[in-house]
Amino acid sequence: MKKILKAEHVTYLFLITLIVVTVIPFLMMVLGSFKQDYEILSMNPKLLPREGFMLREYNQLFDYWPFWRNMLNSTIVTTITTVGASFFCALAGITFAKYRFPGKEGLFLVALASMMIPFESIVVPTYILIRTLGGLNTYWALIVPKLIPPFGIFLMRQYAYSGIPDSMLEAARIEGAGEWRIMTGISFPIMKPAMISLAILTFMNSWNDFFGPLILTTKSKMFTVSVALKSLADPGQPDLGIVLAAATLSVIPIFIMYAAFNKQMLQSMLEGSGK
Amino acid sequence: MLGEMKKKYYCYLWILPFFILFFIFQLYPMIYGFFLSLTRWNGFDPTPTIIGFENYLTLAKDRIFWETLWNTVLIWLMIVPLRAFLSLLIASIINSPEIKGKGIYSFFLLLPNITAVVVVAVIFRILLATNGGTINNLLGIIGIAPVKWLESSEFSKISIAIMQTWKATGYFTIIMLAGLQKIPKEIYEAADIDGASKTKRFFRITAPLVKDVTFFVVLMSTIFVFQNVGATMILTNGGPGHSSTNLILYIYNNAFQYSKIGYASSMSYILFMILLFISYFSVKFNREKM
Repeated sequence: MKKILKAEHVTYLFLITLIVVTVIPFLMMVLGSFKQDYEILSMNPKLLPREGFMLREYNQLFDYWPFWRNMLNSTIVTTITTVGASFFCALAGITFAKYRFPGKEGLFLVALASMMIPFESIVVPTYILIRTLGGLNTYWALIVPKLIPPFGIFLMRQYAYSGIPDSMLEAARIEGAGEWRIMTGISFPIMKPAMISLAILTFMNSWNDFFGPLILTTKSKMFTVSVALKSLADPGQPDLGIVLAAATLSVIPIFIMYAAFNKQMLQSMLEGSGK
Repeated sequence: MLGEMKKKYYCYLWILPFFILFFIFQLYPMIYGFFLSLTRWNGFDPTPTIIGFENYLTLAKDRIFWETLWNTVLIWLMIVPLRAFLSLLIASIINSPEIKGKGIYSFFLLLPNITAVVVVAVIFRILLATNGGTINNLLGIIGIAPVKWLESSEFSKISIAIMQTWKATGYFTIIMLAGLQKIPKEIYEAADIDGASKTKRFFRITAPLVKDVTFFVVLMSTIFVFQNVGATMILTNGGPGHSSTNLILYIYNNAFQYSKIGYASSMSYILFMILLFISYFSVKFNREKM
């Protein structure tokens, strides 16, 4: 008995160390955002800011960088992408799962194959294309290309396949309901949990997105938070307090969502991984 | 067939938005990118100059290109096997019946994964700073001289591996955990009755049963390693020299810093081939499971 207890202690110690290692970098970020640079990188580090929790770094950030605007940009892009992705992926997913029409298999295969074209391998032509269309530094260029992620269609299709009973659709048809009426009145309400899952994933991906916004924006006013953060951190000797203040602000929306929908988010991420 | 298509016109209408975006923002760039890869162009002249496959020949002789691929292989070696092992180990510890509060561990372990790469890279620049960085301060306590994590070519790749391990191991642990929870408890009970030790239980039962999940973790990790650009850009910007540059960063630099659109496009195609090869396996694997 004594031996088992000891093994258990080691296990808990291991898990607690794990949590500490996970949390400390975040703690450093938040505490650092209240510190001056010489305190952030110091041979004699103190846990808490020497002069207390002053908002100096935050004020400096807003004085010399349009960071509120960047937060607003990210909010606009993320909101529209999230709503759009949930709607269009559900629509396409249900169609592929529940309807029969000529060429369906082939079209589905195309959608499947489109997942194998990673954005990273087409950044250069995408940049030229968007530039030619006059889309640099516009919201639509940040939104439209990511509006209907193919993996979302798959997620929706899988859920619709077993989630929406064919008998219900047939019954509605016999009663003479139009197809669009059936889609919005019957199928969409059933898809709600899956759509919420996808919305959470899309929100996260979109808010944290970096490479696309990096190449598609050149004016600091049109940066998303990720790109702004990169710009702030870019110089050889950046003002670390300001960078950490921006970093702290940028994670707030995601962390709030995570705290509020923890279980749901965990579930979404598992579904998103295809497990 | 045509009549049927007419009758079901609404089906096409409903999937049309996806296909419009697919054609404009995926298929067209794919084709246009291939055309660009056959040209020399700085991106500003009115028209690109067609030079055939010269870019690909230059590429084959470009030592930096090969270095970026080699860097990716080394970083892969530092990240993926360790991650597969760690996520399986942590997941099986959390999964063991005597551990309470499983939800709490999952909650914390996912935090780094929901955080943007840019934020993580910024934090690690401070943790890994040579003078006054947290990790060097801690090493100082046990008498180790400051390590040039980000400023030496010996350690820059290791630093990227450390950051990526911190960021994504939790996520893969959660995936492993979900895999483990599908294993029927009876199997473990039978093993307990037979008096199998915990180590034996881990290697003989757990590990083989999560082979599929492990394979998935390895594949996804591999794709992550190739796609990792933001974190590298901010943590080391590929340096010092090219010691931590990966292919995507080299593509980005060629296209957007050196204005070599054609050359960058030819490299993008190589990257595409590599990722296609990897994701072909992952999709094939996933479809078999569906």
